[in-house]
Amino acid sequence: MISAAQLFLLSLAVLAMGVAVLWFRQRKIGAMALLLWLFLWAGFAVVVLFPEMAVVLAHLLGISRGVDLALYLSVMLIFFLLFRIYVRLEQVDRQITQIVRAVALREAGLEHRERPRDEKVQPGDKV
Amino acid sequence: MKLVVVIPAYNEEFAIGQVIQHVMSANLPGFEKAIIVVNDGSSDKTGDIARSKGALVVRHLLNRGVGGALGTGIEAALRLGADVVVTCDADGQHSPDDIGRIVEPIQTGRAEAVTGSRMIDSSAMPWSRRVANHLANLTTWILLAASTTDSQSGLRAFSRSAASRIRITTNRYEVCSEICGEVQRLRLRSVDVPIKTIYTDYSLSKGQGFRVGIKTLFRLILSKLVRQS
Repeated sequence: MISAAQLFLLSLAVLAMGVAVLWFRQRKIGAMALLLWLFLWAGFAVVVLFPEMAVVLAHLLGISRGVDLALYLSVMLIFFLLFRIYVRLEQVDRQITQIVRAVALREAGLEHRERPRDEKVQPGDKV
Repeated sequence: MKLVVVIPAYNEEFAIGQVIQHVMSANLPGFEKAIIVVNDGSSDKTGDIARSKGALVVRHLLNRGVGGALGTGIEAALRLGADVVVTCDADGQHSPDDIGRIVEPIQTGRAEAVTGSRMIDSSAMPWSRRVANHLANLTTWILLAASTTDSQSGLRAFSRSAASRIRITTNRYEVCSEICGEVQRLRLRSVDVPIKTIYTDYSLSKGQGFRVGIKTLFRLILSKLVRQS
């Protein structure tokens, strides 16, 4: 039988998947992110319904408890997501600089060059 | 020949006026001089003071850090038609006499990129700064394969072609190492010239302390992982 805790966790998974689909429809996230998200929560649901499966998988990897496996995986996932956010933030930061730079140069009356930029390609220059 | 001195400045109202006067008074025969101050989103009178002293002020609407400001300043210098671009800190730590010394190798064609090195004679430098600068040089060498005596220097000179080929993408202090990396990547002919450093309580309070230094290291590593746009 399904316990109350399992029911709660399952509804959580269904909710998360629903939100992901909604976001995809609103074009807030891409197809890859949707698939990843659905896959993750589906895996979560399977483990909630059949906790023994997690134990079997954990044993395969030399980990004694299924809960430990889930914990390790989630920590890894969180690290990965954090890193992605950090890189994205850095990119946004650089894009802001490009805008601020363009505005600054325009305001100073320097939108046009008096002399063309040297664009000669030299050995060692990545093109 | 046209020489443009680029000074990135963020809340430097106490020092910027004197720095501009010093640069103006520097004796550089054969050069027509111009000064660009990049007012990097200052909340004080930095921009007004710089303008009143005769500098061309380029204003960042938001504070972007010294890297972002240098990128803007160098681009502005090129658009002004600079033959030589000099970068200079706004906190008054450089001696105006040294501008002539770092420009000389470019004037004579001996180099395309010159680093004013505070580390060749670092006797006046506080020991903690000396250790930090050595570590920064080591890091720059490990991460960017660029070997230099002073990777964190703010006083540099570039020929026009060098300045127009160097790509600056980072926003903050990691730009110092990035420039060293660019000099290496583009195989620019470069020399390090010894310069004096004027350490005052003010200029010491403005540089990178321990905490910011660690942040810079982290951001430098991160910048290696971000795709260039």
